[in-house]
Amino acid sequence: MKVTVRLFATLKDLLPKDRKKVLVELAEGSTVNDVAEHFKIPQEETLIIKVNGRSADKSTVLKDGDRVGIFPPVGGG
Amino acid sequence: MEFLQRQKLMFSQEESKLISNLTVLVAGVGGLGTHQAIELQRVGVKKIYLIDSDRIEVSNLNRQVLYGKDDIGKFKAVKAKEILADFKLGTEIVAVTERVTKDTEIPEDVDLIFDAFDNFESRYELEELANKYKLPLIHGGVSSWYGQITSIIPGETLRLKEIIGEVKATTGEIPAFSPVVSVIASLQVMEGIKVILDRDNVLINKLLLVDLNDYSMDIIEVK
Repeated sequence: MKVTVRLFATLKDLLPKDRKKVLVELAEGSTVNDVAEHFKIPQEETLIIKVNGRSADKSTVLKDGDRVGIFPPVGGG
Repeated sequence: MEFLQRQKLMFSQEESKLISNLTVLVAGVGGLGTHQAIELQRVGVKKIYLIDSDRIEVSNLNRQVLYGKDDIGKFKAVKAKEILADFKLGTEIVAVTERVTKDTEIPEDVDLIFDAFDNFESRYELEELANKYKLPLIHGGVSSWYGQITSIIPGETLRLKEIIGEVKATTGEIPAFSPVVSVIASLQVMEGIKVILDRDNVLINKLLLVDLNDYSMDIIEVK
């Protein structure tokens, strides 16, 4: 199955240059965590996750055509 | 406040009155807080409480715009008040040199709280307070080229922790660049004023993500 992934802020560096979103091919039954691993997002990073615009988490199971957005909240000031 | 002549052109009399009667609390007088305080004074709010128990360090000076080399070791809130009061623009400035905890007493006249902390542990304590006192909290955070802003309204929005999630204790230094801090602080002040004026297009149940590297802004729903 294929899902569209958009990464934000510091995570944009993990996407191919000049790409804001990419299509990722995953095995059936994959979760958001598989997407995080695909992009080598450090496991300890706090993430705000949206699937098709709805709140989700790393354990959310994905299906073909889903849109995944991953946002790392920033905490400096 | 006659110096507000140009600002008054874009607000109704009633809106101008709401702004000039506004009392705010700026929690943290570091990068975000110093920029916010400057903006809030120029906007002509009635009173600003500045709360921070920290003293000025040399590593603060790249972005904490009310302090200089001679101020190292002084309380941030006290120095910030001194500089702002010198402008004589009519806003009352109150400096509080206490650490904010969930037991801190918020003065009765506070209408709105600005989050200007530099870590999520302190933010979550501040948000507990805002929730207890049923006050709107304008959250902002920065790192490197990036920032995020949202308004937390008790009873109306999710809690900050529900939006951001559990955050591990802050380790290491967070990159901070003055122009980015300034933009995020300004957006927080803008948002706070819009929330108080009950205007449309505010960041209630929305998280604004700002990327100043590629100049993009995205709004995501957080409900």
